[in-house]
Amino acid sequence: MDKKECLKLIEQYFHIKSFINKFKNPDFKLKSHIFYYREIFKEVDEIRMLRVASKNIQDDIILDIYYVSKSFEGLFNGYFKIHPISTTARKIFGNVSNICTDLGYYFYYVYQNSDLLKKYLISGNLENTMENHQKNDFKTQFDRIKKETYMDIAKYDMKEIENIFLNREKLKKYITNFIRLNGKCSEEVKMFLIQILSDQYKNNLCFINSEDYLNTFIKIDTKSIYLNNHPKVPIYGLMDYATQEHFILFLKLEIYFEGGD
Amino acid sequence: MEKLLVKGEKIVIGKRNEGLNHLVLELTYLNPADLLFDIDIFVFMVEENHGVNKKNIIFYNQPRSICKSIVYREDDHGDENKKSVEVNLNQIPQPIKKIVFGCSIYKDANVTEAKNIELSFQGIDKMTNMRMFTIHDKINIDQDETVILGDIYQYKDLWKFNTLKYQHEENILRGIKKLYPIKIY
Repeated sequence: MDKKECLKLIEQYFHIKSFINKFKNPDFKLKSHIFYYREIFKEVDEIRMLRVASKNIQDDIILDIYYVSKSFEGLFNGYFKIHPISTTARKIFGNVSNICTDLGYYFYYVYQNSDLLKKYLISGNLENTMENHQKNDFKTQFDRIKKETYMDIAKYDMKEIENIFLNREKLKKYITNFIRLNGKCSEEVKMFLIQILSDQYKNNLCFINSEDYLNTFIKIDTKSIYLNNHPKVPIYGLMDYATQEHFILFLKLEIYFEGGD
Repeated sequence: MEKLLVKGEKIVIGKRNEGLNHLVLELTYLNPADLLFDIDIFVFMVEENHGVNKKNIIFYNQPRSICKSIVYREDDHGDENKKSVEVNLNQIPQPIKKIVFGCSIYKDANVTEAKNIELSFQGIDKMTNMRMFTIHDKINIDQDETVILGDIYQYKDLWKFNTLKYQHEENILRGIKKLYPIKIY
């Protein structure tokens, strides 16, 4: 299903309403930058702006969307933060990004990455969706990844390996240079970069400059983000788990030097 | 004896196939804005046909050249920031004809207090620890994002350093492409 068809189904099963009096009739194609240049929105850091809810009340899928008025050169001018409110929404929108600049892209991205949303949009029935859903046991996978990472590090003397760890406080610089020196990033990559800039994961992420020492790290190029040894593991779920369990995930930025023309 | 180089000045830094030819090139600058500001060294290994393999661009995210003859190191503890590159000229592969040294300036949108930054770039003989040359430069960080410091090149049986001190308002890739007809592949 392409983005257009997906958004048609989203509109069929969900409605979107605004919490802001000055902003009426929102739709699922909304982009955050349109608020960035409006003086009134510049005054606030963050504001609850929209609610997305399932048209069938019994399905109880409710999300609130906040507008955040920050900016980052080359990456975003304002962004949306998605907060699943109901338990069902948390299940459907778990393990995916909760930040975006383009709602239309976001819902299509969730459709592509959430088995539950995929089934819900096809069946239009939550009960049927839940019955057909086989719960993935990501916790076991996440635990294995944590163990693998620690075992990788333990193989080396600290003096030998410490040079590969980049300064965790220079995250903004690394992302700025990634944008300057690379060609255009995909929306998926942009969403990820905004997410890691949002401080939510700042104590649990560390960039590395070499792939020679660790086998398990998140690889970020201009097109995609994936865990190099486990490409099917949901990155956002893993990052949430790392935050909960207080362990560090390593990331490698791929720089292609295609940005100078 | 240490030589203070001016723009356009060229000096001999070694003889091909003679001696160790192992240099440390060190960039130092005072950082007035801590994490909101930074200067990074980028080294480009340019081949005879102006090609630059992207794996031969050495900087913090790629600290070694393919041949391992150029290695990047960083020490940002304390007030003075120091970034250095070790170059073993004897191990530079034959197709490499030029090694270009540039700086990329990172400035957070919130930096207001800093305008002019003084930096120093020194060439040191690794074996004897003797300073061979120094370049001083003052950069207006409101204006410029890149400084191309100079390049090492072969001239007959000599290794020479050519001082450029070229400041440019755009990113380092645009800056280097203004000076050299390079093709990154």
